[in-house]
Amino acid sequence: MTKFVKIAAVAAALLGTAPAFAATSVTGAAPSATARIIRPLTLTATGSLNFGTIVMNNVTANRTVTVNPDGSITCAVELVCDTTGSFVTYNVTGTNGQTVNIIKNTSTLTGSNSGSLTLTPVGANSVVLTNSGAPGKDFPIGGSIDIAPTTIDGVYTGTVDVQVDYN
Amino acid sequence: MTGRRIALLSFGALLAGALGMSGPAPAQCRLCATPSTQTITSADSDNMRIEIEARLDFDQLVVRDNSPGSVQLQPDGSSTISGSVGAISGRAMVGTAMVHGEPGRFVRVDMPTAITLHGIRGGTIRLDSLVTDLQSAPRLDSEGMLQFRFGGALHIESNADGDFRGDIPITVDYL
Repeated sequence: MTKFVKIAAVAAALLGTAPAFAATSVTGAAPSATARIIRPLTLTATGSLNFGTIVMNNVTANRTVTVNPDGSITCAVELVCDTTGSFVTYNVTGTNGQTVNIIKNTSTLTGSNSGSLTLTPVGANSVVLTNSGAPGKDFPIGGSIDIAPTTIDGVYTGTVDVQVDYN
Repeated sequence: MTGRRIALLSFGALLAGALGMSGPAPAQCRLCATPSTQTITSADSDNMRIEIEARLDFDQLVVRDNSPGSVQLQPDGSSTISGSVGAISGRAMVGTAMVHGEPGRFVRVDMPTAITLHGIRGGTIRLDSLVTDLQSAPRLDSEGMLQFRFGGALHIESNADGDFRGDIPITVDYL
């Protein structure tokens, strides 16, 4: 009888043991970590923006002359312009594959006989770098000016204001 | 004699059944000192999940030259730069994750100490010192949620530039 009771106690102990469940664990979708490493931009220019000679022929309203980024000149009526001018070639260096915005700001050309003209650079709005550092990427910049009936003749000079920045 | 044999056989059957049990077998506990009628299920992992609300994004880093540099982004959003790293973008963001599970449960959150970010155009950079803003004993709140942020330190070797990306696996366990 005693033996029977002991066996029962062992059986009860075995059945009564709480099952050991594995600790629950979940792993979420891996969040990504990202970084964009870029090198400082450098901008250099060669050449100059030259509209050539513009003859005012009884100008009655504001007329625009444009040196296109390929050097050709678009001449408005009442003006006589050269066929071609010269444009500025810029070179920008930075990080391969990055898009660089080209910021074109107006500037003032000062006349030799007083007077001034507003110069607006003309060209692409951005370029994509195809290498890091040298050789960089070239891009041309032309410009446009408005000739008014009151524009004073003379030689106008100034600087072209172009900046670059990563997109 | 017959009655005694039947009793022994009965217990033998019970013992065989107990020894033959494999794996967690949900069952009512009938012979416990304090019997419980509550069914123990394996649904704990079914109601816990992690949502990644924001990735760890160092955004744009400007490096001045080819010497090594590093930038550290803390879970509170503060950052420090050193070496060739000249600036970190103001749009850099720490990572944010949300754990959903049983209200009031204590959890353990595991992340690797370091990972490798791979460049789209080749190359690698190291991200280490991964750290969270969790308390020492994180616990799901009364709504079963726990949000935490994480950051780390990015190490940039010479000539590394471009876009880099890597994955940070996060594991959460109930305690």
